[in-house]
Amino acid sequence: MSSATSSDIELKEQALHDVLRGCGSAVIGFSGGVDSSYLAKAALDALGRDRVLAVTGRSPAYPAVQHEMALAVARSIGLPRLEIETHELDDPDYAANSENRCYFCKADLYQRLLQVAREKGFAVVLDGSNADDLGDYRPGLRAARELGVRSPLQEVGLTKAEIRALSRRAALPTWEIPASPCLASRIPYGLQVTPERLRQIEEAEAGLRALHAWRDLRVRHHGELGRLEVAAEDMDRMADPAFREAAVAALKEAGFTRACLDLQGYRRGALNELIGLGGAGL
Amino acid sequence: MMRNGDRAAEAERRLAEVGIQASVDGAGVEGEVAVIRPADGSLPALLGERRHAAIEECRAAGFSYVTLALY
Repeated sequence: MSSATSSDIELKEQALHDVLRGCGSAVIGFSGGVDSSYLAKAALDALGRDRVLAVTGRSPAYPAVQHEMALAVARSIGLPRLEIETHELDDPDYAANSENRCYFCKADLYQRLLQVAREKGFAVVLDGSNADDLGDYRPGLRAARELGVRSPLQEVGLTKAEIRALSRRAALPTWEIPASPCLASRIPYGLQVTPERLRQIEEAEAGLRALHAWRDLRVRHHGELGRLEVAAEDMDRMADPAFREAAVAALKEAGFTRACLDLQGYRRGALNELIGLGGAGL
Repeated sequence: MMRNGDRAAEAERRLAEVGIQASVDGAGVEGEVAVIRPADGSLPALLGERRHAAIEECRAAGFSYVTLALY
């Protein structure tokens, strides 16, 4: 990292602390991912633990592996934390899995976070959207703006790479974890989001993770077909027949009848390619 | 728009033209996924130096996703 870049990051971190102090107190939407973990740590540093509450929304679309990370982060930094159930799957608009699915999910989550903030006396609700998200197709951001949820990382221009660098410096365990969006992001738009499909995806990914330390891994759901996306560097694992057989078994045990490996490899937002939105961050 | 079977046949033809011997099925909810089953012995090449050629030819045949059969 160049000294100019370091200086830029430090200025942004300082600006972030100023924004957070200006909030007075905050409920933070906390998934245990890279962004919300760093935001929670920064809020703790800027406001103190009595003025911060990290809230995790749990539903079948929230990966168990992500929940474990949320618990680990909270333990490591002494983060006050609350879990709430979210019920986005009960919303027909969400379950229909249109291109605006994320809007309905986030609107439900943010309304619950705002209720928590009102009941417990916190001034604002914050989320972990970053500056890179502005260039993506993110209907969830629209829900945030409509409901008055603020995105301080975005406000001060912090990018994902910068957040990872700051997380590393803060010794957060999330600094190098891969992005882990909700499980519904593996289902093509137009194919109904159901608890069963989410379970299939989660089980298949867990089974595959037990076989290899993948750099990136997604199981995309195409009905009976599970389409595996991994980093290009990991593809040659599939040249080994025994490994391939084990990978197929993992997908079949999860309920897929056919399994395939995407030759293009993992890329963000691969399912947005079908609707011409390119690499949005899913 | 080409039908699913036509797309698969077109993809096979295109792959053969660039020297990749394989059969292709259309899969997925709307046949959007090309599933390539390579001829015996050609899998390593498909995962390696011929990977991009296979992607290009199957996408040219109208598939959104280009994959290798694992089963």
